[in-house]
Amino acid sequence: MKRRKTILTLFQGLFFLVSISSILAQEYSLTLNVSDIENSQPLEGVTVLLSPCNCGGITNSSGIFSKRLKGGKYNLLVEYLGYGSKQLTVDLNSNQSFKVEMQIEEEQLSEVVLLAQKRNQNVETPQMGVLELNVRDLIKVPTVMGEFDVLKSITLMAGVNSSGDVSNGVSIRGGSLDQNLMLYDGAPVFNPTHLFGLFSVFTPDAISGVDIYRANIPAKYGGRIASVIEIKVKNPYTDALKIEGGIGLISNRLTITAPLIKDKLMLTAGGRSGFSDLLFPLLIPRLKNTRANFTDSTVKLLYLLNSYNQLSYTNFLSNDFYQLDLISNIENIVSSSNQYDFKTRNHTIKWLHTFENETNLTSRLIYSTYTPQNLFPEIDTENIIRFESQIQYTSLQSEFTNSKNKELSYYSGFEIKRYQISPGALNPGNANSINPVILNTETGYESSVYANLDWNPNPNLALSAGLRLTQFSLLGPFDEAQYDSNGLFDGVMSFGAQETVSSYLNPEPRLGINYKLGEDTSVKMSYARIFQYLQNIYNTNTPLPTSRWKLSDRYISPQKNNTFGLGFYQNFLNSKLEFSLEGYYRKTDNNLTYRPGADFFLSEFIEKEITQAEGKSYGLELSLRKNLGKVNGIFNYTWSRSLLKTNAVDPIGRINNNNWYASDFDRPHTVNATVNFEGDRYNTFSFNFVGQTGRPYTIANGIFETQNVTIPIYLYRNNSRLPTYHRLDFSWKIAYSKDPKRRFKGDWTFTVYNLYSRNNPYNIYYTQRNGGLDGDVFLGSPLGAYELSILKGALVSLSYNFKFQ
Amino acid sequence: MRILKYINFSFLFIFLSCIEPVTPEFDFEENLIIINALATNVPGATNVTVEKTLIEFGDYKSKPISGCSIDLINSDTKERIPFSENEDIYYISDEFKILPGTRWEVEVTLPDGNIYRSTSEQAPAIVSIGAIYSEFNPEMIYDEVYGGYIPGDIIKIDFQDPADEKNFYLFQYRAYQEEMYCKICEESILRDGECLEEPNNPFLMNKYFTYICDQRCWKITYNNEIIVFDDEFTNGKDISKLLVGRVPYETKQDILVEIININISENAYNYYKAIKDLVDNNSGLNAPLPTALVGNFNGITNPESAVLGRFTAGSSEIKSVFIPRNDRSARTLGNIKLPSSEAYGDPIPNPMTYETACVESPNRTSLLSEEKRVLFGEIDTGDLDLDKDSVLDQDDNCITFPNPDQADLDTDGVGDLCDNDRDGDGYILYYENICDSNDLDANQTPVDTDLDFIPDCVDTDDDNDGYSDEFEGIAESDPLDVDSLPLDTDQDGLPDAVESRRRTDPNNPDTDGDGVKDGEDDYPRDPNRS
Repeated sequence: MKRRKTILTLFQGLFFLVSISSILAQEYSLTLNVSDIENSQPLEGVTVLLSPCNCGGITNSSGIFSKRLKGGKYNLLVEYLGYGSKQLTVDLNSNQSFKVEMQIEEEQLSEVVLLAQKRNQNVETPQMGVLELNVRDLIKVPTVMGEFDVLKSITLMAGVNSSGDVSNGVSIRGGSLDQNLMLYDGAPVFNPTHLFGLFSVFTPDAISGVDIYRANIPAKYGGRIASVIEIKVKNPYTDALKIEGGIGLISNRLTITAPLIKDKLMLTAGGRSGFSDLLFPLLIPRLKNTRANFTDSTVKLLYLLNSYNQLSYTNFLSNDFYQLDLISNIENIVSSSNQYDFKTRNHTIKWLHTFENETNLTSRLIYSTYTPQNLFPEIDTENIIRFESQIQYTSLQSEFTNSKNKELSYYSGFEIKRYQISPGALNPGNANSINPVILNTETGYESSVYANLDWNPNPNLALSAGLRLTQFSLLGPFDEAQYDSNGLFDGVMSFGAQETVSSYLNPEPRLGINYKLGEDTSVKMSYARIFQYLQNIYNTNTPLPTSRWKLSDRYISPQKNNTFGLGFYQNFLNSKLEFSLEGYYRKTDNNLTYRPGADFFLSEFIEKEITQAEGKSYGLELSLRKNLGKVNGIFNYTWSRSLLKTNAVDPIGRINNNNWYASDFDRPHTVNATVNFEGDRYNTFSFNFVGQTGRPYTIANGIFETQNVTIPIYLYRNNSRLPTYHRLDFSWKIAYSKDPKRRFKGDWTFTVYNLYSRNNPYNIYYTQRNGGLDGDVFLGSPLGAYELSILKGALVSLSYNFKFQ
Repeated sequence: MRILKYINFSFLFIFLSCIEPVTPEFDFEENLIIINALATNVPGATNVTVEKTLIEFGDYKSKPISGCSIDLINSDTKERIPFSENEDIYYISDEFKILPGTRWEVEVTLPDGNIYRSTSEQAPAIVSIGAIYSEFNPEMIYDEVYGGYIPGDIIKIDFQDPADEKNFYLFQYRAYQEEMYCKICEESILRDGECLEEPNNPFLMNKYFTYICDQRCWKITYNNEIIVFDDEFTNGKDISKLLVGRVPYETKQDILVEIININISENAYNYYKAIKDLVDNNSGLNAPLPTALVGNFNGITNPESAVLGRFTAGSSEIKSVFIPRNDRSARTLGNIKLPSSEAYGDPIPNPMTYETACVESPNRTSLLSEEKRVLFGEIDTGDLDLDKDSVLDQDDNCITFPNPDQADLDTDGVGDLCDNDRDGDGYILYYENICDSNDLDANQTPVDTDLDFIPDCVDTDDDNDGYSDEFEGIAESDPLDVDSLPLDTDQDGLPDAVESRRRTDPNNPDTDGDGVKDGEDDYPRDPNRS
């Protein structure tokens, strides 16, 4: 602990040294704050050209462009795709700051214009494997029941898959669901979906965009080995009240953005709630006792202290409550129903300090908790028996950025994360028929220091090199099981409070190189190494929100990933058409696989149920994107594999005889395409197509019968595949506000999910033969089999969205 | 308690989701050895089965291996007790039982010399069942395949879990219901204990015939799900109203349910729990992924070979509950077929049959103990007279129709009212009526060229030469002359003239090559059907 502190102090000292050294003489600063006139959102990537110096630059993510210049008269040209241009004349004789509001040019604007994306950006930066989606991209994607859904939308991107129509997360480049660091305004989200995987939890109207990093993940991120999915919350830059909302079949939503103190304190508060209590019994009498309620809300407060300091606070809450008729009896508890209650509470405090010399320091303090519970109300009494678990996450991050010099910019910082996991407790309340169980809390610290350098040694070469040094410690109190040489349980070793149980120190280099072969062509290479110390443990297709999380310890080693990437990027027709081809190879270690009969529920020691496997995934991602025009869209094709291999000595730990086998996320072929037809200013039609090789699943190698029950024998895992998954979605957006100046605007969105009613199998399972039932299909088989599809037929929905400003 | 993590969520999506039957897919491996062994304190119940997987005529099976030499070995004294084989199952004796607390293992030597041996298992102490309850629930369990609720009786028990030890329980049931019929022959009739199809009898219109049992007979049904219990969270508690069985409400007949509580070891519990995951918990959205079942047998002569199955030493106890179901108004899941016994005048040959034997099997018994028998009510076993014609059944020559006069024209011992061939001329009443003859006169017989007792007017092959009258007509041979055969080059039963009409190969006895001769193949040009 002490030593780490010293390192941190050193690093902080370094920042200040750097900042002091860059103080300059006799010049004035010119700062432009560029935003959209309509919604006051800052515009990133706006080109600013200055004459007579013939210099310029682009705005940063806060819409700010800043430059120090000698005093004098300057002509400014501010240009942004889809917004036309603006000219300004400035007489610079002091430090000056301007607010530039850009007006959308209706005639030119195409709905699909990727507003946040700078022209030619894809061939300029050394960042590989990054996907950026802004809110306009996201909102156009037709989704289940008209719900706007971040996670569903990103599965239309190359290299991103879900594990089926119901999936509690996404799989990126063959990784498992928990190998993605999912951040919502910096705070990790442990349960990203409502309704067990049908919708994502992020408040739709509060999102400004999503960045997905899957190749050379920037050094500022760490902790999950496959990707970073950073979901950004809108900054409430506004000077007028604005209300947005929508009414849908499943949920209703409302967001208010308002200035509390003009130009000082601004607020955005959005929420969504879904109450299906009435819906279920109406649709299906069998669901008469089912309750399914969920809410999520995002509140962001922005305080502009002065032009050098910004403070923001983001609060995210997500609640799920489900009540199901008891269909699986829980032992010795007479209860009439199962209730599920999941709560996410995230808090992010961010302080952005900009120094005189355009460098800045960003600090974040994050506290987030996730508390899933199972409740069992006892019959005939008020008592409720609870099974509860919890993750408490606290982190402190501070980062110094210097991007003043276009040729050489850097950032550096530290991050300390504290995980506290209560793996599970059974609380019988006042029921005397159940013994309480409380598993020990696990506490771990993941501390990192990192630095990244972006260097453009010549106009054709860009280099990004980073290093993250991570130290993980699992601290007591902790009970560690001991095993004898035969692997048999041999007592427990207890660690006291703050005693180190196990610790790991790992360097994580990150590297990206971009070489421009021509104005519109570039080649990129990347490498990243990452470690993961927290894992979600489950042996089902997709984890339940109540599934267990586990920190690395002596037996469960941290997961490790080395990713290599090579990409080719070409833009055609003045960047109207972007083409990219990316190849990757990921070598992973210590992936979690489960032993036969594994059971993690309230078990004290789970290492005996887990075998860690090495993995490799590789693939080629081809992407073609047309951004402009009446017909625009994206086409992606991915060829990829994701394989696992155990190296266990004992026969039970050997999966598929220690041979390579397809992981659950192996999808050799994936095609995603989105096409938008922008008919006129009132009608927009969009189509999505998703097609991919079916998920690997396990079929039996034999059968035997015991007690009139035919039992399938399984020797190997994932030895077959489900049928190919494919689906077409359609959406029609009708905007009927004729007058663009009107303060109230409404539009209708009509969506058809699964347009041609494909029954995509989610799973195939065996059943006992029941007389001659379905005998024409099962034929002479000793077992029957059924295919479970989540969606039968097409799902039609209509939602109404409104905006008042 | 462990069950709850696999709760089937699919019903939450029931308004969206659907299930479809598909042809089961296997990656079948032959010659996997499966040994299942159970030793208990119930006399005679200790048994071993040894099977291996194989593909037989394209069907996936596991087949018993006979000729094994098997010993039950006392782990402490090393005493070996041999099993002997009886109809694919190996038993020790009708009296043999093991005592709770003793340790045992099983060694199996296959006919090919390979030896497999289990690890040692200790029979746990018996935990006695206290009270037993049954409650009827018209919505007992939702069945996705059936697409609705299955009504049934839920069986629950109370017991006191011992505080000083971990306990693991496996619950099974055995339920008895009186059999209505001992045999139902679909589109066929029962003769000499077998359902015989009457292929040349176009007049047999009955879909089925029912045959009652020759004595009181009970159908035995078993649990079709695995129910296990672990006292992990309830150690030492009074366990009350624990669900131990679900008995579907198939028919309105009364039912006797015997709950078998088997106390097992922790490893055995884990094994049955794994089976439960494979067969009962495998259908939902969050179903556990299928994995190998790890048993406790190891290869001694070939340690690397895969051997499946398990030896379990259990200590069991039985508690039963009788559930009267007669007076229920709720709908049953199944339907009993309406009686359709053979009747006088049916176009079926003698001897007319009404009943058949209640053959002892795992699914049927007549040997129910007296105390259980009385639960089903007394039946006058003495002087029975079913048709109430004042002639006791034992003396009656026709027990189903009242015939106080006991008339029997042909004196064959079957009363006229029960005799399908009253005059005894070999032609049944039905044929004689159709073919202008008389069943009351042995001298009047219908025309029957081949003398097969199927008169020409109903016989499709009057001369019995193997070629139907229809074929002989097409091929222009004489249908009434057994020596006049149509030209059939490939001898497949289809004359060449018919083959050319059916566009099959007159020179190939099996045109579609599916192994069925063209003459016997309903689809002689489709290799997938016959």
